Amino acid sequence: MKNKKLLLFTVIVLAIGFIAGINFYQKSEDNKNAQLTASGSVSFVRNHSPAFGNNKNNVTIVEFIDPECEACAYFHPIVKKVFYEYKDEVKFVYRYLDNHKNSRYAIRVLEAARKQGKFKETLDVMFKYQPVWAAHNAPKPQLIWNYMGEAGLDVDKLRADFDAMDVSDITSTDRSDARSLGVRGTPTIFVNGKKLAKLDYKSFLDLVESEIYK
Amino acid sequence: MYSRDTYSTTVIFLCFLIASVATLGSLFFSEIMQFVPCSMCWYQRIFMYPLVIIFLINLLYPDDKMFKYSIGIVVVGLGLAIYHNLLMFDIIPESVVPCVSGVPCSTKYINWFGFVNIPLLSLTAYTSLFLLLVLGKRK
Repeated sequence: MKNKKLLLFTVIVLAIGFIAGINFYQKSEDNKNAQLTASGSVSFVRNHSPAFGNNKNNVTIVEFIDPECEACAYFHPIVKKVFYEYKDEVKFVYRYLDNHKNSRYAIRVLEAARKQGKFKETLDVMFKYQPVWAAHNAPKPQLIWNYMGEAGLDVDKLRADFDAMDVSDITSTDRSDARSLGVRGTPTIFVNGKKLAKLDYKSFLDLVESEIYK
Repeated sequence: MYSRDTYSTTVIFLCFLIASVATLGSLFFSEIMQFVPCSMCWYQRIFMYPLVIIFLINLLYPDDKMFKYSIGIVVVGLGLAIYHNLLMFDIIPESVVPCVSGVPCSTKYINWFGFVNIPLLSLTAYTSLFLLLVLGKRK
């Protein structure tokens, strides 16, 4: 039947058009990012950002995180594994993207913990107990405090630093950089400005290694 | 085998094309360009996506009941699209928007030629489907 052939042809054209559109869009986005980075108008790293590693090979990994984001908590062990494997070779930088209701509360706790040099430990504990303090139907960010001792923190000092802490400059700078870089969700990871396309261990490791051994 | 006496194949084919482009377009916006859809967008999607399959089945296996199958879905979708556009053009105030998912329904993601936004694209799709189904019947 002639009509069925036409129909099949239409479906194929629609599918090809869709896929071509995806490729075209992603290429243009990559170009835009490369230009933005080259022009220096956007920063992957800011002075206020928590940064780790010895960076012998001049490889900068940037992760946009949200302490209340489940995918971030899920991906966190993978990030840690790769980081500990290459902590001499790379510099690892955290940026915030406060997309949830209590994200900023948690970020304040993290920044207060940084004053005691316990950012990483605090983030570990926060992600570990995320299902408790960030439960979907009834998030209770105050519950974070129950676990802060586990991060090896002086909780009284943490509380005082937390009360005095204002993170709005940090979060708004990070948010505007995220917007310029086309980052809408967390976790989003860049390695030397190259966006990690697939969030799994192997893709992340491959991207990091390709930058280290290039 | 039934004959297709209510609509010509061309009308149904056009409907299928419109619904497919609307479906793929909305998926492109959300999955590729990563615009987070607001809840109004979701409701309009719910009524657009099945139309692709319904029109496709009718193209493959023609019968004369297409109007009954599709008009209800199209009318509800059209109603939602009209409501959403009233909101976008500030005719209904934002505070009455039934939005819970974090993205306000008056967020404008695209602005082509100074006035084309995503809800307007949805309204165009639903209006053309409605007109085709109502006016496209054979005499």
